[in-house]
Amino acid sequence: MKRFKGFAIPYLIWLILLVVTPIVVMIVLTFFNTKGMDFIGATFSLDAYKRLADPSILKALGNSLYIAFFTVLICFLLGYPVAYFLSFSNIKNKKLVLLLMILPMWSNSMLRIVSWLRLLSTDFLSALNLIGTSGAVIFVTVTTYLPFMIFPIFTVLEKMDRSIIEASKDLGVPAWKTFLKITFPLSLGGVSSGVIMVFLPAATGFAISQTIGLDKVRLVGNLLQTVFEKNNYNFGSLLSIFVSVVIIAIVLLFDFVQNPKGRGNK
Amino acid sequence: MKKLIPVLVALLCFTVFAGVVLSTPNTVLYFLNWGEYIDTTLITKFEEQFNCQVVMEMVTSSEAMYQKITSGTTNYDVAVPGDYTVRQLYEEGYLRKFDTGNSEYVNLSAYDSLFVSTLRSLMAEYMLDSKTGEEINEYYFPYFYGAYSIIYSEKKEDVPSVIKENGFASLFDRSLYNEDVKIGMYNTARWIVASSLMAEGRDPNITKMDGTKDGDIDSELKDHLVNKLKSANFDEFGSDSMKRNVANGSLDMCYTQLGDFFDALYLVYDESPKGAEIKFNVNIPKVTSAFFDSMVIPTTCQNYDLANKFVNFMMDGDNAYQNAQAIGYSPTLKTVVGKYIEDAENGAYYYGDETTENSLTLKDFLEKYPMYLDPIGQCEKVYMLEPKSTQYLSTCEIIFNSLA
Repeated sequence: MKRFKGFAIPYLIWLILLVVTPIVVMIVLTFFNTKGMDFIGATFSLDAYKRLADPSILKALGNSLYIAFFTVLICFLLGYPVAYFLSFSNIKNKKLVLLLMILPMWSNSMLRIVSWLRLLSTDFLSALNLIGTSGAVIFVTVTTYLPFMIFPIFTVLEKMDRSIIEASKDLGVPAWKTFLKITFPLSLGGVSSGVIMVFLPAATGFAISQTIGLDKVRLVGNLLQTVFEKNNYNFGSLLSIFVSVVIIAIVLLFDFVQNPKGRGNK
Repeated sequence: MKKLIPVLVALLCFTVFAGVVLSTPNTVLYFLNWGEYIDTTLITKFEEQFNCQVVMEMVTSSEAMYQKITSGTTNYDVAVPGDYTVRQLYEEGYLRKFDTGNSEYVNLSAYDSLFVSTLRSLMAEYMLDSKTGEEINEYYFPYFYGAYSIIYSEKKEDVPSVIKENGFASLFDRSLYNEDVKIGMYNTARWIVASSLMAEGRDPNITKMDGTKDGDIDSELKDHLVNKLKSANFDEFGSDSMKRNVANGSLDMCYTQLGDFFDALYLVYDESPKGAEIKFNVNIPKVTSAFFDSMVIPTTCQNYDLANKFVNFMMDGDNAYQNAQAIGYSPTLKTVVGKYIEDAENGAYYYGDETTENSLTLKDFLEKYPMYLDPIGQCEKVYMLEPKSTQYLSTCEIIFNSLA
């Protein structure tokens, strides 16, 4: 393998230039008052840190996590059965069915969000007063990210060694027990990818809460977007780093709960 | 022969490509504007007249406009920032003076007598160089203007009178109404802060309760505003969608700019072929804040002559009149106001003509909505939003965020 080490160098450069450097710049920015990204005339300031302590920031973050948690939960409850039955069914054109599922994703996501807004504002549905509520935001987030849950689970189920399930059945284990003891534990890898893939965009997005939530449901993504728009790169950087740290911590925690001994001992 | 075909195809592609490249005008004007803020047929007309191409980019906030001009990633030739952004850009040296002395640009000369008098006095009072105290004339040409106002539905009986009596305070106090009302607020953090201050009769630029205007909003004022806004309990935060919601009655009132009302009014006429029933109106509170957006030439401009030509073209009486009719914001030029009045006398129509069922004559329109040509004439106190630091704007965002 050593011979091919050289091939990793371009990526390493890429990583340093486009990931490491921006993070370092962001960390430096948090300690200054600058005009946007311009360091000329910058003054040392802890203004960004003072703002982070504002109770409304925690509330926005709390809202984001709340929305993301329920989105993940509903996506899992809806997506797992779809992936399961599709994988274990005898349909010939599984690929076609999957293709149909991602068909809506071929259109721009903003277009779909606005379509939901229009649908929810129709005479029939507007009576439910859904627009501007967390429920509606969660609903539209689920419809947006559901395929991200179905796909990894489906892939894992497809690759699963079916002889293990057959063995379980041969030994007379009831179907539900086979599912709980064999199929589900073996598909957890797919579930965990799905959870992460849905959780991350759901927790950091801002378009859905702005459009469907009428800005009454404010997420941390909304705040991030507007702070950067108002040219406050100092507070914006700190907020981004803070949100990243919280989300990475949650993902690590999720990983730990799922597999406490660590991946090495698997 | 087989080998020849690809060569011929390649040649053909090259010819077509070269043809396209050659037919594209070599002069390009980069124009930074707001959405739905110019009659696009005028752009086509300009392109044909001056054999050039206009590339228009759109922004949704003053801050985005400022950022685009100052970041220098695109060298815009003409931009249309709002009043306080013009001042800020001027102070920071980003604006180039117009070529007003050039006889080629007839519509750019006689700067002092171009604009309607109420606007002219606002300009004289507000658009000053902070060091010399002199007017920064000829660095900007006001494009449209207006005032912050309340669009309201006439469905509920007491809404019009309460709004007329209380101004912006009527957006913050539901106890003024006999029944439940739905109130919308614009989702721009700075406007939210400005509206709540003006509702108390205060200057929208203050940062402390004692009336100081420097620096960032202090914690006392911030807490005061958060409490006030929380108790207002708005039903909706939105932008362009709110005027439609008021027009169809699903919202009782909202805070917005005057131009939004006329835009909505025109839409309702346009969408109701069997006769429009207009059940919404607009009120400009006695204490309000005015704004005007102006055409400017940033120092980064690549085509100074074409930029002057473009603004000269847009300041032409006929073109500006056509533009005003398409956009709905109040015209800034005296000549355009004159044309409106003249056309009204001559029996012109605001919407439709004698054959359409739901037509409205220009005369009736101007009588019913005199504020269109004179947005701030009836006001007792007119403020202007002043340039503020990113710190101030961030605090506004946090105040808005506190309402979640």
